[in-house]
Amino acid sequence: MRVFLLIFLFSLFYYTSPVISKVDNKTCFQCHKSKIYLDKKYIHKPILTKKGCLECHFPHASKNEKLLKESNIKLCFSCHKKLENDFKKRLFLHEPYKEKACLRCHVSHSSNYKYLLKDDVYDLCFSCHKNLLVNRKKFLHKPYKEGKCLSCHNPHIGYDVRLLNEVSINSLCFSCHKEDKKFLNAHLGRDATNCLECHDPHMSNNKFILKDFEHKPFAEQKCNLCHSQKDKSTALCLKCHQDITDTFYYFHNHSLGGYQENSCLVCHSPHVGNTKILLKSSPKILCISCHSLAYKQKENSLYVHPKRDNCIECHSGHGSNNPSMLKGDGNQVCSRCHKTQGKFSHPIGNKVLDPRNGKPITCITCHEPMGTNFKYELKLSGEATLCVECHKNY
Amino acid sequence: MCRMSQKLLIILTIFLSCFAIKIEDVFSYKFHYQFSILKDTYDNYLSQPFSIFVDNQIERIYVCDAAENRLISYDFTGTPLKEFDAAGQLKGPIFMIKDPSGCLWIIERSINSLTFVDLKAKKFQRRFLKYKNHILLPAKLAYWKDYLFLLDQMSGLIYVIDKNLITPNKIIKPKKLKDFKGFIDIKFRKNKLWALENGGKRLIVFDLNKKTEQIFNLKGANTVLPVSFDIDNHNNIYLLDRDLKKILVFSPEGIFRKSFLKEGFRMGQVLYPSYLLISGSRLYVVDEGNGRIDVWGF
Repeated sequence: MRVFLLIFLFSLFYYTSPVISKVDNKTCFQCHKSKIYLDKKYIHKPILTKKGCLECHFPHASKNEKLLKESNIKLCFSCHKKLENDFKKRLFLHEPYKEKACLRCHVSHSSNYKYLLKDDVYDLCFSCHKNLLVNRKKFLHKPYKEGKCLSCHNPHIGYDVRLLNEVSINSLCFSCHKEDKKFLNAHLGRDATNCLECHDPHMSNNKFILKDFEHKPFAEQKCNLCHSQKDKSTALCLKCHQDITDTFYYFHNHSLGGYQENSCLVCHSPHVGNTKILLKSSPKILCISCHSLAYKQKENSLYVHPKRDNCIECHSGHGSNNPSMLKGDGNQVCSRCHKTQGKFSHPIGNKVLDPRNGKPITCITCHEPMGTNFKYELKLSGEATLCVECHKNY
Repeated sequence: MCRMSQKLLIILTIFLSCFAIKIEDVFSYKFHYQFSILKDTYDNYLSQPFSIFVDNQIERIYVCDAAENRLISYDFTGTPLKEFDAAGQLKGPIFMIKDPSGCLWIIERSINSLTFVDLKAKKFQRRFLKYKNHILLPAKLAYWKDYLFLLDQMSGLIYVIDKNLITPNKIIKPKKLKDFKGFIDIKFRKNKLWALENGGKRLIVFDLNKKTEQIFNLKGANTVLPVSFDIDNHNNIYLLDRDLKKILVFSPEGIFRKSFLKEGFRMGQVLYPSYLLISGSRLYVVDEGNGRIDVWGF
């Protein structure tokens, strides 16, 4: 009986303060108080290994801060190999991860939060994503309400800017929501195509967190107006939206014939949307789903136009005679906002020709609003390199 | 013994170099920039060239300058010869072909018309095309055996038009192709209709005589916005990507080999390339952004 009691007491001591018993960091802890590193719920694995502190730190000297063996991210990647691979291969990365700032979200020794997070997920995420805290609406999606951001989002990588956990949005939704009778009744027996076309993933003022703006036939519950038609092609939409037909009669247009039977539905939702024009997602997400290079350019640029994420601010959604489907030529489109520059600037217009190609000089001859590494989104350094492209004698 | 091995080495070198030349010949995609077509008959710069048509028989190059509502003809040295705007009637010509009788078929995008022009008979006739009440949005044209092949941008499909019947009467599309995304460019080469799928991942070849089709999967390169393609004499496939601002070259089997072109303002560089054509020993790149046609040759 005594033996059992001893074993019980020993194991109790062993499991309640496992660290002390396992770790051979005694020398370090003579100065560095072990409590700071070990008294929290989750402890970074290397501390628990034989090498202990020396897994990450040099004992005597280092070129890195805090006597680290390597600079921050290199050190983390030396164990977290998957994250290193993803970092190299994936296009869509969470900002702190992209900036190699692991310690923006994580702590290096111990934490009371899983994954050694600095704070509770709710507080941690919303400390940056503040926009999701303001203008809260009536109906909230449960994970959002409870601050369980990681139920849907991946904190490191994603398949698009939303950094969702799954490629298929529906499989993500159906990991919680069942496709049962109730579901089918609510959706008139149809399979879900893309839940986020109609439902907002965070909040809405409408029941079932449906998006705010409704397509007129949907709002009036005249489903048959569209669904009873045999012809489901683009012509179906153009029957009512006749004026839209002409918007495709431009040199460049988004008549995406072949992508879907009805190419309008590549960008627009036929039921509800977050804006009047019923786009499936915000331009930031929708446009770059095809124009991936535009996203890359932004990510690799130090300077980008402040309204860059709202593509349709400068680009026409349907069609334009200008390259890149700009809403005007390189001067018109900029001088809508930059009024002074439209009147007073480096000589521009039809009479001022670029010596390199004979085209009239416009704002976008020198500026690249999509993003560059030079101030004012200049295409080259404004110190000299850009100017001597044309002004050879200088 | 030493001399013997030296001789063997020389023979081996000769053999290998012959083999290398042979390989080079098969993948002879070494085009070099030659000159640019950039001015009109009044010595003004082109505005927004969109596409070209080359008539090898009479050695003429025809350019569609869409923003200036005109067609301009050039000789093979790039000297501008004549301009045609149908007495101010032409509206946004984005594409044209010349049929064997010398008549022009022009796509006027601004009014969505397929326009027939017989210069000799002074005939100018617009056709607003529909197929089963669907408005067609002509984007590209090809001509074969008295038939016009029209690529409709609304549906991404190819419509066959008997030039006497005026209306489209047949659709060409791949019979069994999963996730078919519609076509972006068509061309007749070697008596077959070649069509590039949107996204540039597949090239479909229709043999209209044998009524067969062949699919080439283009592998090894990440395309972004392919807009045009062509085939050279060795069946190498050239793909023009507007966003990458590059021409990607694939082997006849569809394996990526190399890419060339570079973004920029200077001759031989491109800003917004819109069309690619290989004719004879030349490769033409129409660059809407720089307002010129860069001519590349072997």
